[in-house]
Amino acid sequence: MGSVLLYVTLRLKKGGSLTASGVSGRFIRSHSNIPWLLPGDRRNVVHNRNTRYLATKPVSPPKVDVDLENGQNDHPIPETFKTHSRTLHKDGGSHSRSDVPQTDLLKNVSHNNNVTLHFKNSRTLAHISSSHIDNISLFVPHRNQLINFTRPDLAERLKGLEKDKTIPANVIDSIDEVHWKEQRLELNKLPGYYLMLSKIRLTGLVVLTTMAGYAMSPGAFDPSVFLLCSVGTALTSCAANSINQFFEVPYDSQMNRTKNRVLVRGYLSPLHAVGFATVCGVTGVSILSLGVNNLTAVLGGVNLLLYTLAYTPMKRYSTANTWVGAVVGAIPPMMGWTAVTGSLDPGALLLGAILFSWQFPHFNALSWNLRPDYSRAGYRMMSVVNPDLCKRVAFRYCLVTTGLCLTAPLIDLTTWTFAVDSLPLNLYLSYLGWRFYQQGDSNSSRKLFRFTLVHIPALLLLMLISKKTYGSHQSQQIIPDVVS
Amino acid sequence: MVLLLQVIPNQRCFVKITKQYSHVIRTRLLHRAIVYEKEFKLRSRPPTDRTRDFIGPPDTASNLRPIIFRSDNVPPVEKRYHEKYENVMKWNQDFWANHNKNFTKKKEEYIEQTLKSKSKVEGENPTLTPGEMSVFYKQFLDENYRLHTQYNIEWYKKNISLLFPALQVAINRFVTKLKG
Repeated sequence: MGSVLLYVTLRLKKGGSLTASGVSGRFIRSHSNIPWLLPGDRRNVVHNRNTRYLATKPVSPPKVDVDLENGQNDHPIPETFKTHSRTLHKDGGSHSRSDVPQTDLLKNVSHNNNVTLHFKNSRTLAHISSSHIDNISLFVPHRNQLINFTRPDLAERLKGLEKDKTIPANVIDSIDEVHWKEQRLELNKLPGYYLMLSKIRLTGLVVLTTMAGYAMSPGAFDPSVFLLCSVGTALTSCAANSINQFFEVPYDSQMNRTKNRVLVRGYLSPLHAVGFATVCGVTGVSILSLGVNNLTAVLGGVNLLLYTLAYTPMKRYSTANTWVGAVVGAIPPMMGWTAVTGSLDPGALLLGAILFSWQFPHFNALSWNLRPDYSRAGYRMMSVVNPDLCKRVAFRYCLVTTGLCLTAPLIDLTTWTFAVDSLPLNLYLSYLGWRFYQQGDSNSSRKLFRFTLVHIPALLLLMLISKKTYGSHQSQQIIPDVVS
Repeated sequence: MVLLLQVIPNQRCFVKITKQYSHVIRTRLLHRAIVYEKEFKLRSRPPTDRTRDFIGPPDTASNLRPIIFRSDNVPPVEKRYHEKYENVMKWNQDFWANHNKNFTKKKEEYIEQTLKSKSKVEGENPTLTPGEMSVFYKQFLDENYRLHTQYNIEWYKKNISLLFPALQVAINRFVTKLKG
């Protein structure tokens, strides 16, 4: 929020009534509430007879007069101004036509974010349009006085009516964004584009869960299978993300979060993206099938289809998309597990279940602050369509995650230490989830979202260090027999 | 590329508001009951070069980036693809420009209405909470459910139907490169 300083010269007429002899306005970007004074340069002052002149030259560096400022905040509109306004109204000689609104000085805040000043003597209405005004100051040289109009209602009202910053075309971050550019494939930038197309950070997280799944499964650690499984999963994930972006171009264009994606900006052609996805998808699933095993390949393929053909279009149809998306997130760790054992054991299902339930606090908190975007782009997200359910489900699955981690020792996935040391992590997650459920504001949702990003790698790490290996599992059962 | 800055010809504008990166700067002056409204935009001139393809800045209404295809020495296969692509582009532009305009209008109406009814209850200076705004977001989605789903299906069809012509163009280019 900035301030607007209006420079008004008031002159006493014969008989004592005030007239406005001039005004000049200048929009000042300032984060402080201290208004900047314009020097009393004649060129900046607009005069009585031809009140339309504005100094086009930049005003010399502003001075801050603290003495004037002190203790004068929240000053009510002084009586003199009201008088002045009325006096001029009666002053028939220079009166305006009836269709000019007879507004008081500094009265009108219309719905276009405007402050309107009406100078009756010069029959002029000045509209100052800006979404950044929260403080208006008038400097009256005649009295050597500065009057502040701090209008809390103004600031608050304007907040609600601010220019919609969620619309990408309204947010121009750099001059680069108003250029026309030649559409040509730049080969040296291609690797970077491919990484962006495959949403490399998301793919990285997916591969991390697969690795954790592999490491958690009972059986010998085979580096070559581990590597093939990771690479195969990564390629499948790249393919899924590329296809997703191919389908979403006009939707991605509507939101600031996604407006810089490769296809939206036209760095790559849609055909190129589909080609890349096909190559990645076929290679990925083949690697999983030939280098790992068929079950893992099937899971990878099914997940690819689930993400691109079910989850992506479903965002326009039903809030159930979050649950489908959670299944998509739950499959990668299971793939890591099946790469070793070749079957979906209870351990694999538990890992999948933990990842499944983690998705809800993660995604619901993320989507909470994107409600205006989702609505405008036509996404039927839970946070928009059913906000209460969104908060409830996020909290509910925080508790489910906690519960699932406690059951890990029961199916011999981990030792009891995991149940103990994962508890603080999960309880804090649940606490943040509860805060989000109770307060439902942007702050609590952001906190929850950020914590979920730390939570899942930490949880997987704790799981790894307290893994129950096959061998020790049997010997531990024997020891009590010996003792008894 | 040359940046075109349309400056208001009338220098006697009353209040001048500048902001470093503002895209649209609007000044208004009402003098003797006549409204002058001038708007100037920071924008780059669409290229006149017809031998290369260009992609533009996001459209202010639809947020979509327009593409201008080359038109000099274009083989017929490519020309057909360009025409198809332009049709889809226009269809998308129309839909989103309309849709976003509608969204903004409905949102403003909602805000105004809610503020009005709130001020009756709470007195002056009511404000809208994010929770109250979310009522509108839901309402908008529900009202436009059919529109959104129909658009989605149409878009998928059109998007996929562009793939084969694009492939033809790519093969065609490759073959001409081999020959030439």
